[in-house]
Amino acid sequence: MSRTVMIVDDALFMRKILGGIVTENGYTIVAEASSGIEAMKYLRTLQPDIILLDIILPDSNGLELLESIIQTSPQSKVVICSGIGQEQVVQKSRDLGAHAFIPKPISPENVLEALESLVW
Amino acid sequence: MSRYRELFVAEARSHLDAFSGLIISLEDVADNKEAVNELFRHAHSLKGMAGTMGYDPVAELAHVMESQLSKARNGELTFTAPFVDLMLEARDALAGMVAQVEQGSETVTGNQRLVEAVEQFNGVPPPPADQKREAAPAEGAAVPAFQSRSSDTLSTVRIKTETLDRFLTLTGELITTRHRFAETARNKGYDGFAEPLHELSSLLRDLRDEVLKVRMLPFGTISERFPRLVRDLSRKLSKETVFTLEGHDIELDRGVLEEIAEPLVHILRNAVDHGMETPDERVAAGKAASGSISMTVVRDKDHVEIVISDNGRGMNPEKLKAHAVSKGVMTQEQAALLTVQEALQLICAPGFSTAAVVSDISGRGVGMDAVRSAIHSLGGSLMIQSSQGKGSRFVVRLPISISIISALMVRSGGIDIAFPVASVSRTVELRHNDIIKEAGNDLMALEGEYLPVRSLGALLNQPAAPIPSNVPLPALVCEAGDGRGVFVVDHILGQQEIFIRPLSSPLSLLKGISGASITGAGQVVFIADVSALLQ
Repeated sequence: MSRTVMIVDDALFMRKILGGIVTENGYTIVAEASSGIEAMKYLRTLQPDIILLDIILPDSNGLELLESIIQTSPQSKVVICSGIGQEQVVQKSRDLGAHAFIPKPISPENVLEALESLVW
Repeated sequence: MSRYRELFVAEARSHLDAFSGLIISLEDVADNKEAVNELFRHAHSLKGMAGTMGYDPVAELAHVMESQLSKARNGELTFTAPFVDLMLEARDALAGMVAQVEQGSETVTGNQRLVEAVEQFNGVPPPPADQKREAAPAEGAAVPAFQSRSSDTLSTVRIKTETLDRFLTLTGELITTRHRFAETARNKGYDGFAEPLHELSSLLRDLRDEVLKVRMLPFGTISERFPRLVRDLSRKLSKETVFTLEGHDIELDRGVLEEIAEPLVHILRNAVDHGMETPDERVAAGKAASGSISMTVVRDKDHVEIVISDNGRGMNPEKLKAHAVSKGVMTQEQAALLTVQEALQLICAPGFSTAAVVSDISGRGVGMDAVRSAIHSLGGSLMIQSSQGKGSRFVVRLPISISIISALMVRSGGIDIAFPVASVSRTVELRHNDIIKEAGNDLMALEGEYLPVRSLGALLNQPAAPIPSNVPLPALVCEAGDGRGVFVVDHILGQQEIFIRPLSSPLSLLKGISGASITGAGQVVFIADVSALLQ
């Protein structure tokens, strides 16, 4: 059975790109969320295997959201999508328990490399 | 990555288009928090998208724009003309970079001068730059290569418009094939075919209606760049013009939109260039310093009417006549006979446009005659009204779709010709004593009006056949635009739905013919260009 994925990003463009890449590589998208609130709403019921998380969201502190995600759905692996100049946040998110991160610019290779680095 | 590149280009374009529309509206009504916020979001999204894709120069420029817009949002900067100019210049630069991406270049060339100019802008206009900003790029006028109403939900799909064109062609061919099938069945006397054929007809009609419906796009697809165009040209000519647009949500077939965009641009340019006075002239004439140009689109059954009106100086019929005479378009005597309405139409006469008008549209040689023929070839009409000192009004009337039409088939000189039913007002049987000879022209009286009578065969340069004087002649009373006239034909064959195929050169050069179709019998028929025939 293919791994399930939830994408959390406020930019539609990012959701489309990430969605395209993961679907083409055999993963199943179970939800797309554009905000932290939306993400938490889906999280409880869907418990996806993988969460692709944009660490900068308009309605949430990304690090706090990451903490809530890990608490609510500990079996999910969280992959952080970072932006340029966000190295500090990325380091902190690793300390908090994020499992992998995708550097920008986004490419299918970068995304797959991050997903394949996850240990199940 | 090419698929994602395509996605990037499409999304970036829609942000940029929305951006220029919004920012121009802000120059007129500066205090609009909502619009400022939206501008900010467009710059922000673009920055994010570009960062995602690794197009750093795009991200960098969008970033400095975003910072300045953030200041505007906090009230630290206001939307003065220099600020709007700079933002538009940056927007154009971004559009240029997006075009580089579209053309497949892996890296994008940035514009460091502009990044610095935007970054350092503090409300004071910078010293004039060496490079003058060019007019808005033409990309906005094009009908998009993708068609979709909303791309965000699972219930809609994006498809290439070529696919839609193909659907339409196939539907047209199906209709043609049905005609052929029906004809064969009739000739061979197959019984029992009538009912399924009837059913097939009604299914094909439904299919045609659905196919035409999905090809419809809102007028806004081509009009998004018009405010920018009017603004840029007004500033270049030191004029003050407020532009308003109504009816951007009215839908037309994409084929019609594609063909009408340039003619409308030309009419708008003329309105600013020739119609609008300078603020000084306006004040001297007792008018407000700032003029207005409006474009209104309304739907009227199978047609739309696009009205472009300005409150500028209007046209002087006497001057137009004098110009036409000096250009050799007509003689002094002919000019003297023209009504005011006819004199206004002179601006569309071939050879009337001055060199200035031609250079205005960057050497493409588009004059008002080209505008009028573009409208006519769409089966539409152009009406010009003007009142000296008060302004002008251009009324463009277009069918909402052009590909499949009802036509009246006639025979003339041995060939079949299709007349669009929309341009035939009635058919008559003409007797010889109905024809009045006046100054070498044949006229007939109809509903209190004298209409010119001409033989279709003669107009199409067909060999003249002797006309029997004792039988009534079948004739069509046609109208297009303000023109009305009667065409005598050999036979009227009946009405039929036809699928219009464009003609390519050299056939497209034939005067009086606008396209072709294939009949049920597999025979090619030409489609009459009624407005050209009426001239």
